[in-house]
Amino acid sequence: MSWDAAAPEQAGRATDLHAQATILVVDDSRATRRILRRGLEEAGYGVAEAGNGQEALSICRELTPDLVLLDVDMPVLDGPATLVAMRADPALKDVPVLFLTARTSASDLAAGLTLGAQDYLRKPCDAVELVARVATALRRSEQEAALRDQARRLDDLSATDPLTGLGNRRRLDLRRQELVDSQGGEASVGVLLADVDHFKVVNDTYGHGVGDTVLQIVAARLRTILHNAGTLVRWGGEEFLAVVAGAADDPSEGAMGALAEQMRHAVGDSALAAGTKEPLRVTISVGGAVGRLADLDGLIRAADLGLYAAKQAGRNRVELRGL
Amino acid sequence: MSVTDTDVEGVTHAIWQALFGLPLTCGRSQSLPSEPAVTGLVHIDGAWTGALVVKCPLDLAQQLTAIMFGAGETSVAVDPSEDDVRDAIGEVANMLAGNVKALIVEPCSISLPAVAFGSGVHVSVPRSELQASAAFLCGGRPLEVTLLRRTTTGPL
Repeated sequence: MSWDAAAPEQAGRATDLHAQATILVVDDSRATRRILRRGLEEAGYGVAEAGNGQEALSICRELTPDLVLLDVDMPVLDGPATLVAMRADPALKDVPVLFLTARTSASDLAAGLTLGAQDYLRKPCDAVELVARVATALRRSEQEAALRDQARRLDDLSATDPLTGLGNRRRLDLRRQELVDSQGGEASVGVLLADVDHFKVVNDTYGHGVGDTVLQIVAARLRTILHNAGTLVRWGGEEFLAVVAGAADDPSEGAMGALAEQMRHAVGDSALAAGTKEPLRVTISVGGAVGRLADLDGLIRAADLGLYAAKQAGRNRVELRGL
Repeated sequence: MSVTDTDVEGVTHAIWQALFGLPLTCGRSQSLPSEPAVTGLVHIDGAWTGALVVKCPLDLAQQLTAIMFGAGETSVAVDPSEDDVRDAIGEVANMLAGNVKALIVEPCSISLPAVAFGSGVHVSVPRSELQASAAFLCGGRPLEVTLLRRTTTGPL
């Protein structure tokens, strides 16, 4: 099989799935680019061209190709350096790359694959092999994208409370790490721990179905108050934890006290449509603490003590603690 | 590992078949006449140091270029410019050197190709000797592929 004009007729066609795929061909030889373009276009692919790695990066950032065929030895910026730059760019790091080169030793192949290339095509490569390898790489890339998406969704699910849709403790752990990374441990943080008053009575009186609905409504009302001001998670049972930290937020004691009061009013001031014959009213007690991000665990314990004090003082109230 | 004339013949045949689909016959007695010619050269550097040289008459180079660029697709391809020929023969030299490189001692790297036009072009690599060579006829026109090996170390 040769790369002459007859070869692509025997080459495979791009599948319907890949028919719109755009392949960026990067090679300093116009002759080679022409040969590759011919084979790819006759197989149904769209083709863009670049004469060196620097051009390739510019084009990649404009059109994000579905796959890059990358020559190794090129002037200006060679293939390996181009691949390293692509893998360091969040927008391009997952674009599959097939090295295309006349360097055919095993160590060359291994070096390219180690850098993150999906595959290696030896020059000259016949059109059938070219199209087959491109199709395989595209298929693999799609499968990897689907797996990444699935992993993201699973990760999100694992950090979400299924009843209320709020985050769970794991979400808080992730958020804590983000905050530490972005602001450092000395950043100010406010913590509010809210608990539905007499929730056991709700469950015992109306059943757990109504109890679940109450938790959902309380969660929705608290979420409305928090907006994006902090991270709200279901801490467990009928407890909800709000953590307020960040450049746009105000975790001062005054601000946290006001926020806690808003939360308390949002839940307790109006009846809940929880499926009971009589309008159902529930209240929450809130304990809070303000301090340093590095002391978050201690702040949560302090907020818990505040919550206990609020319960002891008659419920439906706020108690803030310093650390 | 030493590369033999037979190795060079095999690599050249494989590339010709894959790239051009043209018949290529061995013809060691053939030498290039004194007519316009094109010479492509790629250095090999590392554990094995030397150069690969490919040389053919201009008309054969133009024919090969036309095939690579897709003869009949564009006017450029039908009547290739000197720049097109330089590009095509440089790429042929690159492929030959890359494939020969797989047969020699690693680690080695290959240079970007250089291409010269003219009948009197004689390529020499200082302190090198002939390692292997092969002469062919392609459509009745001569083609030479030569592998030179440096015999001493030090800067060229």
